Amino acid sequence: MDEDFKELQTLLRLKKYERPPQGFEQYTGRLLKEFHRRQRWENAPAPSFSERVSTWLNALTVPRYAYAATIGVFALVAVVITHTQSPSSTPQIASASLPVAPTLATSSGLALNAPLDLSDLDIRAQMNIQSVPAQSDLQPRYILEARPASFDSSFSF
Amino acid sequence: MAGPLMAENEVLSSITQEVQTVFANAKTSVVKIRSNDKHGRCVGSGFFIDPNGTLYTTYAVGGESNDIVVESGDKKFPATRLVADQRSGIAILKVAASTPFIPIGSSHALEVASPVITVGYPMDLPLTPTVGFIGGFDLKYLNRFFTTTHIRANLPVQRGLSGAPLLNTAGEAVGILISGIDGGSACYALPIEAAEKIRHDFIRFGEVRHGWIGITVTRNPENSAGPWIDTFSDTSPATQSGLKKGDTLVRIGDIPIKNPEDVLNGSFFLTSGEEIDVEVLRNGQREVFSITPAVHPKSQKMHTATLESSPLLGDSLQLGSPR
Repeated sequence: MDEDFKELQTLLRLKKYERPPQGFEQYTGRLLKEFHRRQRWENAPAPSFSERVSTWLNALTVPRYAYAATIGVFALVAVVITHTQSPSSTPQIASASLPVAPTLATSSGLALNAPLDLSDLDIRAQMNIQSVPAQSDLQPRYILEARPASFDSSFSF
Repeated sequence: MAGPLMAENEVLSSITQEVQTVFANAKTSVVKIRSNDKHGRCVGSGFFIDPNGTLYTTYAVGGESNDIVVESGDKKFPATRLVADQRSGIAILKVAASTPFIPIGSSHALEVASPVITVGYPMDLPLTPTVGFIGGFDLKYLNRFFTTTHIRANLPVQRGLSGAPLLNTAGEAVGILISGIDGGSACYALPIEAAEKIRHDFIRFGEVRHGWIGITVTRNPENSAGPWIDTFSDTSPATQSGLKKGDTLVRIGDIPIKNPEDVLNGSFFLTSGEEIDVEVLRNGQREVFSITPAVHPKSQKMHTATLESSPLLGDSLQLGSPR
């Protein structure tokens, strides 16, 4: 028991004069900073897309209004494309194509990607295309007024 | 218990038989009217009133439209417009054919709860009878005044019935269906007497002659005998008539006047150039003055104004205040 105690005392004396290697303090300092940085990163909320874009734009030297103008141009182009592809004329084309479909099927060399030549169609089919009525012509107005002729009276005659 | 049930069945059977008879007699005289106006194609109803192809419909159907075609059963006739009167809301058309017709009745014989029938072409459906009851006789609806008293009938109506006849149980025309009310749960009809006034003007003069005297009345604050004469329009027939401000109005022609609204009816039945008696109470004595109404200052515009632009409806119907 005494021997164990002496051995322990010897070890303690040796440890008392033990020193860390060169650069140990700098290493622990960097470790602590890195730990704090990661802790902040984990606690902070993720930035939104607009914040990222804004930050990225701020980092550039081009004026902001230039980017706003660019975005406006893109929006305008998108609207124009959308309107040019609107289906307003689609029903008329669809209804017009119904009577001519049999004639097209019987004509021999008509490739799907070739320009459409209506001269091959018989006259009846062409007339059908031209006489497709507008939607407003199909349904007449059935008349019933909301009230008789009336006015704000001044009780005169 | 069987007694009342049998009685009910008998009543229903009797009503059914009456309606079927009226419908059978009227159906050859009621027509579908197709035309074109500035908004497109329109469809309404109408009915023949004489054997020469004269028919009544509404101004909305035949007042301003073109290419008018009258369909009677399988037959189609081009129609010409004789009269378009915005004030009454009717149009009178004519086809070149001998036609069956509906006899003219009297709306004065109607009472509240009297049964009435209309026969017309709702939407694109075949000729359809509808039965209802008289709900009242109104001079105004939702705070706006009519040009004359209209018949309110509690019978359901649909679009396309404009111009259909309102018939009594004898099958006589007592009105012309002018408008629906509240989504079609009921309707207003112009009394046939008002339509006949327009037609008789046309027969006699070749045109509708709305008369004008030039008097404005106000409610009598002292008694309920009748309204007071308040003002006279400059250069109107009233200025030379002998009537005075403060006279209590009692009668215009045959129409008794008990309140200011009654002058609307008195005014409607005036005919320019046709002398009429106006009875008043002055100093407790009844006095009668004969007046010849002038042509209403807005009368010409009434024939040409469009229904929608309606300077007529809000303006020229203020008969005593020409501008």
